[in-house]
Amino acid sequence: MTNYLTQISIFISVYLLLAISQNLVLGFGGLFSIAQAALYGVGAYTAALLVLRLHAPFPLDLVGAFVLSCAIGAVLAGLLVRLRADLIIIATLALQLVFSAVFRNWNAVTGGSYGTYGIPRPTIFGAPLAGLAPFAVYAALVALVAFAAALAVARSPFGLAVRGQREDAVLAEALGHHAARERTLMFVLAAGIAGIGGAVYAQFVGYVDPSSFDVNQSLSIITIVVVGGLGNLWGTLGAAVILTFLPQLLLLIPATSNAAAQLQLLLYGVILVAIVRFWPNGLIPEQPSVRAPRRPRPVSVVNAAAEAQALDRLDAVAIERLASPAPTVRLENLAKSFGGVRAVAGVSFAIEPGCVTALIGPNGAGKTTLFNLTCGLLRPDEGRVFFGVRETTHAPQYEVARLGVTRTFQDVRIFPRLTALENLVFALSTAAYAPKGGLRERAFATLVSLGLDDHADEPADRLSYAQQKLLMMGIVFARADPIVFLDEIAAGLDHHSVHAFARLVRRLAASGRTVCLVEHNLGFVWEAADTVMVLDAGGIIATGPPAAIQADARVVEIYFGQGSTLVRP
Amino acid sequence: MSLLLTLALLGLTVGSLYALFAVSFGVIYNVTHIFHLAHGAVIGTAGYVIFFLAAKLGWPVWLAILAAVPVAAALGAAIELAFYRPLRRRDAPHVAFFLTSVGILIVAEGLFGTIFGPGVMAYGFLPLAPVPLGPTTLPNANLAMLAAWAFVALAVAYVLATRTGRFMRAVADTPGVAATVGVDLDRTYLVSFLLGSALTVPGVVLYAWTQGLTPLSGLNVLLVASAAVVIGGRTGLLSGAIAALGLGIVQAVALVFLPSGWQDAVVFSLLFLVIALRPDGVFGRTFRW
Repeated sequence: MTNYLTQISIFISVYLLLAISQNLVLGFGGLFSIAQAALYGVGAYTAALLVLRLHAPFPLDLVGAFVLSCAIGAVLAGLLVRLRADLIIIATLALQLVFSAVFRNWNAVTGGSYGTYGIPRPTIFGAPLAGLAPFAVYAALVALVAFAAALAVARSPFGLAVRGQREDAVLAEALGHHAARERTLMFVLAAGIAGIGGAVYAQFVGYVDPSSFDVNQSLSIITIVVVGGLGNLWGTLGAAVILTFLPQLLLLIPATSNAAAQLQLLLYGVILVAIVRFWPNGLIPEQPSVRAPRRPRPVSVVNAAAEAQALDRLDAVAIERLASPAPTVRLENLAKSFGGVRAVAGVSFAIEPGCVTALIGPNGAGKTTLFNLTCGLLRPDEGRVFFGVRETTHAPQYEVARLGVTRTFQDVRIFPRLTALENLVFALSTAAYAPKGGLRERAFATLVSLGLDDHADEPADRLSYAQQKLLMMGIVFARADPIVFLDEIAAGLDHHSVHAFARLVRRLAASGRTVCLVEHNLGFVWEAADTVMVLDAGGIIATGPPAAIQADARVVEIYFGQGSTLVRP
Repeated sequence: MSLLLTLALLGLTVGSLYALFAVSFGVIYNVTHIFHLAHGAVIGTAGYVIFFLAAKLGWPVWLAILAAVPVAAALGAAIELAFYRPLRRRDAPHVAFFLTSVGILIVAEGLFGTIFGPGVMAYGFLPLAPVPLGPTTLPNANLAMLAAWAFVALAVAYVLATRTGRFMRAVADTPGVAATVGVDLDRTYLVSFLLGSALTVPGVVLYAWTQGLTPLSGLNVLLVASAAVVIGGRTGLLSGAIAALGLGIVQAVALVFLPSGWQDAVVFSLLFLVIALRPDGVFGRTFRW
């Protein structure tokens, strides 16, 4: 009986390694991979072959398994990271089946469907692990080291970065994060951990055959992670213990012991369906990686009047003057077509520091496209973009952001399942111009100035609309970048709050910053802008101070047709 | 030469069978956008029901096959009503549907294994015989696989010609817009599940006639069928069917160069390549239903 329990504990260690790997990829990284069993197999075969053919001593087998599965993981990640989410599921399924076929048929290396036998237990620093108990201790140690490492990664800024790109990769890049690289790194790390799981498995059972690394194995690992809770490693630990132990109970019942393997599948299936249906967050839901430095005060009942005034907090936020003047943003002859549509047709202008430049124009005029070209989200077909003396025409979004550019997206765009505090820490971690100090403290200070400190640990999607909008502006304040691009921030605001935003934009410019707006709310533009540029059909048709634009007959015609005026007399 | 001809003919017939499975999966996947892996459970259930009725209870084969049709259709509909619809009501993420589908599939695999055992159940009641065909011979079952195209044609005709079929095409394209112009989404999804699930019956008969059944048969067939649908592109049923035919031929002809075990590697490497290089399928918009 003791032997039996010891044996189960070793399987728990192996499954814990696999489940950690799966959770890093699926829970944290948001990559739905069904190929973790393939990487598990790569580790197992590598360790087995290193020992059997090259007589590699411990820990070379473990290291070799880790390195090779990392390497294969890197190749796979390179192929996968840019795919659409639903295609990643199918692509990794395909990869899993290809690997299974290779394990089954590459007889010279893997031993084909019979597998590879006779792998001796390792000898660690002269001490052989032939006995069950010493091996169990060793397996548990390996699993716990991996667990601790995964916990550390999850709590690090890198872990937060990976969760952010899972929520919204475009926003993550706009805030200076190289989302594809972060995702790739996480996948590689996870592949390595699965490989170590394979090595420990091979050392323990002494043989490897393809049936242990097939698609059903991948599905079992996913079940453990979903039951434990996506993005929560403690849940994974609990679920690995429970779900490895539970099927063993079936073996104890004489009536079911013959069909135990089949019943285990059945049990996993039922649990998986039930959890998704009734308990979608798993045993333990995802926890924030940083928490507010002090406990929140209980939030009183939401008050409609307070809600309406929430945006007045913008006036209370201090904006520091820039030490040196912001660079001028220059666009030279920028052009971009989508299919046959010429969205931006040879636009040139300069956005001067210390003033507010607004782009207006009807829907489809090319305003947001111009923003996206300037910030690196799109590449122009022709023309060049300069930030000061630095050319950024072909720089990706995250590089532009790191030069000191913050852009917001239309309406509200934040990371919905990160907390308010995490949203700010994420944005701050790549900010070049933010004042020095701890990330968490600075992020929290911004929340205090916005009156959001009591919501610091709440997921952003549970904040009210006005609070979400405040949080988005908090990102602008916290990063303190010299160049600010604001895309339709006045949309969805009442009259009162529009004025609050106009005052804010004026103050940003007065602090020496370069501010550029895309806006439909003309009242807001007249109040906030120094220079107004009117776009129509991809070209600039008028530039000037608000008063001149209001009087421009062509502009009036575009907006309202002939014989109208833009400002009520 | 004779070998190549035989393999090509085998590929053509097996590809025809894949085409039927691709259409039965595609009707559901294209319309509901659920990667319905649990379709493997429906395929397996249909196969084991026929086996049980014909081999164990001694029913006439045709009656056993007919009886399996309502069972398969009802199971598909039950999965939609009991599992997918509640998730849709909750606005659950894509992943939740997929996980549920996986769960149902492995429950079914576990059940088949518990009841019938993990080994192969041969369809002894459908005898195999070689049929001479010019310089070569083919098993009678393979010739019968060409009949799969009749069912493919039936499904395509239904989707093209009926009112519900028109709704299915509209929903496949943009469910939101279809709903605003008065298409009953729930009903349309349900019909897709009924149709796709009923179509598994002729498919599984032809499959098990040559291969017999194991608990994993449903999954194995489904993987090739879903690969074909993704390779062909989600724009219609025919693109998946033609891709499936192509996969069948490639698989068979690959036997000239590679041992038989490598077939899976060939098919799924192709699938992976297509996803990586042509994520909208190889045919683009050539086949609209």
